[in-house]
Amino acid sequence: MKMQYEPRPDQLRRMVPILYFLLGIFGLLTIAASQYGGEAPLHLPLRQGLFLLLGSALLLGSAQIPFAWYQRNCCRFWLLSMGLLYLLPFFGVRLNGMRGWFRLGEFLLQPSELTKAFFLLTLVICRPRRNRRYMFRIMLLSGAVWIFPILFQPDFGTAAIYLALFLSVLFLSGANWKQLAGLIGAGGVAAFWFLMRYPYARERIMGILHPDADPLGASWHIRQFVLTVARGGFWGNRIDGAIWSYAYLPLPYNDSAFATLAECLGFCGVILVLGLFTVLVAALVRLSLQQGISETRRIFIQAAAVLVAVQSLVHISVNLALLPPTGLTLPLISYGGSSLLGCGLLLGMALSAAGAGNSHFPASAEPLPPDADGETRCVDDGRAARLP
Amino acid sequence: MKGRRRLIVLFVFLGLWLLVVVARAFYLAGPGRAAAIRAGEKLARQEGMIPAPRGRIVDCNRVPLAWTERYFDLYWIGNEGDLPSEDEWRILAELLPAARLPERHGVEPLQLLYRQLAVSEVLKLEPVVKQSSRLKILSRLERITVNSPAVRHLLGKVEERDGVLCGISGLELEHDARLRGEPGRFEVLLDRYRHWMERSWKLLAEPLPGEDVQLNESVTELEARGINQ
Repeated sequence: MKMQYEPRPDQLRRMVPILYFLLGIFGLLTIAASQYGGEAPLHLPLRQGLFLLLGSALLLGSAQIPFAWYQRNCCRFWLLSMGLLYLLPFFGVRLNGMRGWFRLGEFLLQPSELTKAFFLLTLVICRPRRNRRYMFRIMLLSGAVWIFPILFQPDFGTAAIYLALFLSVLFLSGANWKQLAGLIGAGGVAAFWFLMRYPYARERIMGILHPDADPLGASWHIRQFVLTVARGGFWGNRIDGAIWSYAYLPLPYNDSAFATLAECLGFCGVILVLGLFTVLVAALVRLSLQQGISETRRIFIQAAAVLVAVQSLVHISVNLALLPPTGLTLPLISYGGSSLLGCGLLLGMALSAAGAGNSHFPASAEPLPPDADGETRCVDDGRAARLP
Repeated sequence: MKGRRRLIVLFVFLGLWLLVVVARAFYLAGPGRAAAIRAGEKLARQEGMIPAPRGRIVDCNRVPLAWTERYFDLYWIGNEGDLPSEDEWRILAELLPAARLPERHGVEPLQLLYRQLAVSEVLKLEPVVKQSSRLKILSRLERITVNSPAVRHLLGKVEERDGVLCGISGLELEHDARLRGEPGRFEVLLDRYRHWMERSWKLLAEPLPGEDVQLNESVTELEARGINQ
């Protein structure tokens, strides 16, 4: 007899915050390992622990709000995000060559991390539909307006993630191949211009292709990534054994978090973390495939899963010397309150889209209020009811 | 249906990417580990020699006639036309107002900016030098002798060969084997600018200091002998 385990939607919804917290714990371990031997080894782990608690609270809180509320207030979120991103050139703080943070006393706030969820919400609302093809232009304009201030910081890694999110929403919402090909072509031209304009980007690509050509220059970090991961072996070193990442990697608790994790926990630990990420993405996709869920919600959840997967894979590929360095963080693992809070908000909104935000409605009989665009079906543990 | 097909396409692509990542991580942790570590450490690990302190030459009353001192100098290592950045130069000028700006044309790649740094100056300069691939603090050993040309003539000269002071004439040459001692060895990790990494220094072999050589004559007798010669 064939046994097949199908988790119920409410089980999947409970799983997401648990995975968020577990990955956050791995992040704490990574940050602690990267700081071992430093002057204040507990400073960053304690701050990250605080952000993890706040992020978890934000995830659980935002999941309780009905998704229709987010849709109704999309314009307000858009204005708030635009305000934050466009005020950065005037009031932002420059760090690591980027003007991408606001200083709030002891803490730094990175708006481009916090606004990812609102960007996704705007995209799914503006996506082109069968009867509203003109929406493609609105979506294109909205994406450009959003990505421009990020490019201006300049934070090309985050801008590339926003672009990937834009393309995935377009792809999932059924945009025709002509539109997709046009966008990919335009992206290719922009990438070519970028490589011509910034020699360091060319050098990074050459560093990946010919790691022995300039071992102390362009391929220095690439070699250090490889060596750090190799030092971890299968079983890793002790928490105080991540000496190579501490000494040689750029921002070992942030841009190089995966290599630090690999040095500390080895291949076995890496597989565990990759497994947790895979389960998180799979849980989101499974939630998006519930019966009766509206297309807007479905695409929101799927694109959120794509965002987590793509950003993680890009970061990990850089740390394994498969891609040139981009400066992207590993979601939930890398140090950064804005990233943890932004991820918490994104996952919370995805859970809300999956029906968690409607749990205060009576369990079965009461239909849910419609989505802002009026296309919604009621979702309650897989039982769908069409609105009259 | 179309949406689900596209979802499958997207996640198959991401799944393949994940497989490549896992395969690469496995390769680096297993089959490729030794080669990767060897290549990386070759770049980063360096062995060095610790010169043994050269023994003193003392007279019959144990008054030192020749002894060794170590000094630290600040150098600029750059190609012709290469000058410090504005920031580098501003910080240098603040820390060492008497330092001279490297010359742009027709000079050797190794230019002395400041001679004989005090310990406090070395400590102040350390963070600046660590951030630069072209500023270097180099140490040198100098043999100091009593201020008497006649005695100095008898004592002879030394020369630095591979970081070790060797006697090349006079008493320095005659007693060289006893004075020289046995150099030690150390290992250190270097950053991309070839500067030493903090806390990475490790002693491999302790240096054995050279012996002091005691002469049978006093300084005045030596001075007289030197003048006669």
